[in-house]
Amino acid sequence: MNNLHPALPLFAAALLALVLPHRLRQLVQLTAPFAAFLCVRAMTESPHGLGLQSMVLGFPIRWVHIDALGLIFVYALIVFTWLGNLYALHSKSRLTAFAAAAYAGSSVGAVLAGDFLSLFFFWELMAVFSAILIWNPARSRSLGALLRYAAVHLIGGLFFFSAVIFIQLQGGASLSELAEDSPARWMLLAAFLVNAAIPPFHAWLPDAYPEGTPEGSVFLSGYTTKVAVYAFARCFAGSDILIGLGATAAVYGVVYALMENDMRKLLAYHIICQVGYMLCGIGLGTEQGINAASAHAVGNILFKGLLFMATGAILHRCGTAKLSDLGGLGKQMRLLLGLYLAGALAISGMPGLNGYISKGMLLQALAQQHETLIEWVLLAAAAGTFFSIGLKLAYFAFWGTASEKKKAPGTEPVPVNMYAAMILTTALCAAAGLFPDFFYGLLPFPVDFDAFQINSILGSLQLLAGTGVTFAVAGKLLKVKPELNLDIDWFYRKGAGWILTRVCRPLGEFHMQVQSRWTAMIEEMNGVLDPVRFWKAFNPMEFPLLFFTAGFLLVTVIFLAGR
Amino acid sequence: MNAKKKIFVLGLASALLVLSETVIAWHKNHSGHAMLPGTHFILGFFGAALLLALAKLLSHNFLSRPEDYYDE
Repeated sequence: MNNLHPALPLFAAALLALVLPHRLRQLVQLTAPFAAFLCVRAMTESPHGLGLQSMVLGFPIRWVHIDALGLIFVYALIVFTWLGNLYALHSKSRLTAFAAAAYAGSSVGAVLAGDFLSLFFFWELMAVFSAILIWNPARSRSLGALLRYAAVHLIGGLFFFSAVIFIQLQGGASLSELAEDSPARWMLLAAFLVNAAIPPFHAWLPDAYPEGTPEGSVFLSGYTTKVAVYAFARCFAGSDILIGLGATAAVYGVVYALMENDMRKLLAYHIICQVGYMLCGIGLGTEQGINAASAHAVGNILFKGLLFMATGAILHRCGTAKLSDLGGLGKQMRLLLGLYLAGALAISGMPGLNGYISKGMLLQALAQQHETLIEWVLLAAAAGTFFSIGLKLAYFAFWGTASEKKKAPGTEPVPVNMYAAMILTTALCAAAGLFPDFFYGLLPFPVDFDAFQINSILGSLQLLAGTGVTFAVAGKLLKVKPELNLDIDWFYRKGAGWILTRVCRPLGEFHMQVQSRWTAMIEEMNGVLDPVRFWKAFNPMEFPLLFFTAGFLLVTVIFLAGR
Repeated sequence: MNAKKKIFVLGLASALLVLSETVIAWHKNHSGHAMLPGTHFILGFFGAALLLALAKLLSHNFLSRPEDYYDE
């Protein structure tokens, strides 16, 4: 047992989910995370378990490396897998059960990975299995989102792959000992930024996550970005650049969330915002910073999962996730309202719930390093978070002003298992918020933080109250309209077509003209025909490719020259 | 409860929070540096207002499109 990789039970569950009948599949869904947990426990207790190695294509691969930083992420992922499985227990879809278990398994594998090769292996598996979860038979748009998701992650994966090759050529490096000036570092940074969805690499997330089934989106919300946060903490702790990127992401995510009409897209933008917080902590590089980032990542897996569960339940009931079509659900679904508000208050930093603890730790870590500006930016972003999730979304979904005619009816009953999953997640959020001492014990470094000082409690309550006053006086600005807002994905969804018709086609036509004149001229000259043949074989549609290749070569040359 | 009453209650609660912060202790907050009482209230109010204004400005003038924009 103590040499069994903890991802294996989850992969086995994935395969079983494809063949077993519904009842047995449910049993497997609820037991597999326990098996994975036992494997982790066994490994931590046995000194032999830590050396899981094998040779692949002549490279030694270290599959497992366990330390405190990895452990807290692994535990959080396994617990979340169980909660997500409970939430999805009623689902008859074999594909969802398969993809969710395999996605969870690859995430666990990635967090436990002992070197770059194994990290890369699981990283790519995560991309593949998560893509399956985006596919939603009920939404015709989901296929396009899936393909764009796959394309973006393919590019991110290529960066990672180049970095791995480079590192191997240089004789290999352990995860936390990447040379400061190595080009591999920059490639890895790009790959991690894609998966952590930090602007401008983020557009795949709000594009894809709102498309999945209610259950699929819950799973999607938990793994990819948090594993990327773990990877940052492992390889890039103390990189100053992360603080700026993180603060930008926090504001960017919150501003887009404030515009958004689709509930799940709104929450997706808040993933970007919250990952920004975590990056700030990692960028500090201090023990308290890493602690805060880990605590916030774990907290986020729980409360963001809870929020996706609650909005998923609304989608399940009403068939829509658009705020402009919802309203008045508070009277029909009091329990759901309560659970949703618990998640919303947790992410907003309400004392007594886990978000308050991790945000407080982060603010303290920032203050210790005198990053006052960043501290204020994050506080303002917290106000925006409460505004959009705690007030705007709750108001329009549960009270709301949508006219009776437009309002989605809401007749489909919400299964008991969905409620059970949400109640348990809420309980965990409250337990970590009220009794943080147990939680502190799981963090990678000793904790030096007193959560329940009267000033910090008052400060947090004031922040929420101030936001509430803004909400109360905002009036017309609050109106939600059925519309979408452009984001970076415009460039590859519309911009590429625009470039093709406005730039490439005229260029191609111009090229054809030049070509025919050339041909005529050369034929007149009766010269050697070889250049003509070359010229004719050249396809004008290759222009974009040529641009990219030339650009890539240029960057490489500049880079090499600069070294 | 009508809107005016709600705002009154909210305002009262905020005032009490700020007042209690002034009375109880305002030496140091958890992050270690002194802050004037009510700082967090101001931050919450103006932070949310600024971000909302920014979002609405961007959306209204530049980013907003019909829902089927990408379906053509």
